[in-house]
Amino acid sequence: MSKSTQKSETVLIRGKAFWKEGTSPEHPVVVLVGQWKQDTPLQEAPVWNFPDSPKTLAFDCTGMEGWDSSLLVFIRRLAALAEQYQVDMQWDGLPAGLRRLENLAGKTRPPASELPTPNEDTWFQRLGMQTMVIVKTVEDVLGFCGEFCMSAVRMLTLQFNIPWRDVGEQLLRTGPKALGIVSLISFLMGLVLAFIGAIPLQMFGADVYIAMLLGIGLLRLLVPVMVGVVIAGRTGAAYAAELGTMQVNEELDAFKTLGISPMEYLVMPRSLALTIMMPPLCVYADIVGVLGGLTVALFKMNLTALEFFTQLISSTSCRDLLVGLFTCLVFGLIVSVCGCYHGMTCGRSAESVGKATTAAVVNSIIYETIATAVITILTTQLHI
Amino acid sequence: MPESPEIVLEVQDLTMRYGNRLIQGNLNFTVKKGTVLVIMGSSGCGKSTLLRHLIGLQRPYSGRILYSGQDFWQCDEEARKTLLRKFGILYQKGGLWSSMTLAENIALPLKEYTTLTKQEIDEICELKLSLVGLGGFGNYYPSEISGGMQKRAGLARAMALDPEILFFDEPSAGLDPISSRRLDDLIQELSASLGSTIVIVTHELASIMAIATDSIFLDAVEKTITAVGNPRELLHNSTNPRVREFLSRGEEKA
Repeated sequence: MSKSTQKSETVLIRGKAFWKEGTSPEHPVVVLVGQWKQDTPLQEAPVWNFPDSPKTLAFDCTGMEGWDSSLLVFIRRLAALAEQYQVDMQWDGLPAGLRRLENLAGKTRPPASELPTPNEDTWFQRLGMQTMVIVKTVEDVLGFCGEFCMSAVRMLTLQFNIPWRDVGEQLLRTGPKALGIVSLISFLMGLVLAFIGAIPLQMFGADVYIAMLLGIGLLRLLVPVMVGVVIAGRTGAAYAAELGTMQVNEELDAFKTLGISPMEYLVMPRSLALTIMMPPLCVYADIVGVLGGLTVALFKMNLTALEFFTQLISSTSCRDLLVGLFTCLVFGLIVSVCGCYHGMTCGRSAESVGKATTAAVVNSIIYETIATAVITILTTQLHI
Repeated sequence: MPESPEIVLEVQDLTMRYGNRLIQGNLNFTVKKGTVLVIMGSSGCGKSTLLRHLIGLQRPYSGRILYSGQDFWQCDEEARKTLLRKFGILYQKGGLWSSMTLAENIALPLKEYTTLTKQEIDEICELKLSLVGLGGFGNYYPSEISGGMQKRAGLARAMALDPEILFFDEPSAGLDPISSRRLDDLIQELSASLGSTIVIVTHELASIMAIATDSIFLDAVEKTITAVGNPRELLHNSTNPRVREFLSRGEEKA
């Protein structure tokens, strides 16, 4: 044993290795024995730090039973040390396969100067880049909306063949197939609103006005908002995921290179279908919501159906219904534009499809809320 | 007298179906340790499907797939996991996890199956990337590198656990002839150095001729294996006209 191994410091290595004096202290031999595999338990070994300044380093692998890359890792560590201390590594004692692998790994390593350096930007650069991202996004959004409007005009003036088959399919997907969840949510909305409304109304003995509360509250506001949220989560997300996946699979590129505008071929049928489908969905949800309220009125507030509907009809005007329908129409447009925009501008990885879907739903809901506020303020100010 | 090489993989009477459609039937072949087996055949003959069966992604309709004598579909969950640990698979498009960096891609199998320390894992990642010529690219995401580099990174991940048997699905698809040649050389070098057994699915003739020590030909018409052997010999000796047509790039008509 050379003096170098008498240090108390140890390192953990896979497999067993000894440090043996060779022909002279200047020519030590590393003896490798046993298994050198990734699942061999870690062993303690003394730290070798070349204090005797040997000239060469040889290897003896006759006692070695098996090896894999964990041995190569160990040898590369030694080689790095050897280079540092200018010791001549003698590779010929090592398995031939290992030498070839090391050759391959060493040969193909690009020089440090050619290696791309990871970005380390100052906060100022990051601020600049973030600003550029915002500018780019605004540009993209405006560009998309512009193209959307142009295509919509071209579609409405029948300047291109509307793919009716696609429109039909989308109508089916956004309308009838959403009835289940829309029914559930609007029925419960009506139910809950009636329950909550009943508390103050019963205090004043004004039970019958529950119909008015339901009529105006549901028709004008709650039903459109709830339908909008459901559709954003259901259809908007589907649009974004679908178009995003098409982007990943280069399907959108295939459309573009064929000279077919994905805007006309993919976005228009979806927007058209959703915008057409929203008002009927809204009417349906209105009816189910009122029925939910009626249930409470009948069984909790002891009103008769006749009283309920008489009050409903006399207090609710066609205007309330129309405002609700208009809101829903706007929502249909918002959801389809958001969904399609985020799908079309999706990146090219699985992760970006997820991000696009999230962005589509979140933005749909944000813009829906803004639109609701604007419509509500405008209509009340204008006494509509 | 040298002992006969150990049989790593044995397929017995394998029949593959999609629903009612027969893909390939009555497949029988063995792969010996340290050989490079090429599964060849025209497009759509079921090469990739066979590979999916071999790596346990799809259950055979009938027949058995044995690894060192152990039936992949009959053994319990634990044994199957042990078998899977011995596989290294390079998917057609790389199959790299896009939300992870290259180093993380390679580190995941190591973390999952070994007790290696963080430092060792880092060193092994760097080593494997160096082996495929991507040393220093560990912090890159798959989307930031080219298709050929993704392929090589996929190979580095396939080799992470020093597998006993490596499967390649169309390794040269989408690569230029030079990159494709380099990948072939790399595969050969790695199999020679690590002693791994290799199963390759490809229809790239240049690769087949360069690296195969053994091959099977899946016939799209007869829906079974119609030729077994070294492809260079099959080109001249095969009695099956379709095999010769395939291996001569259609110059010899069937």
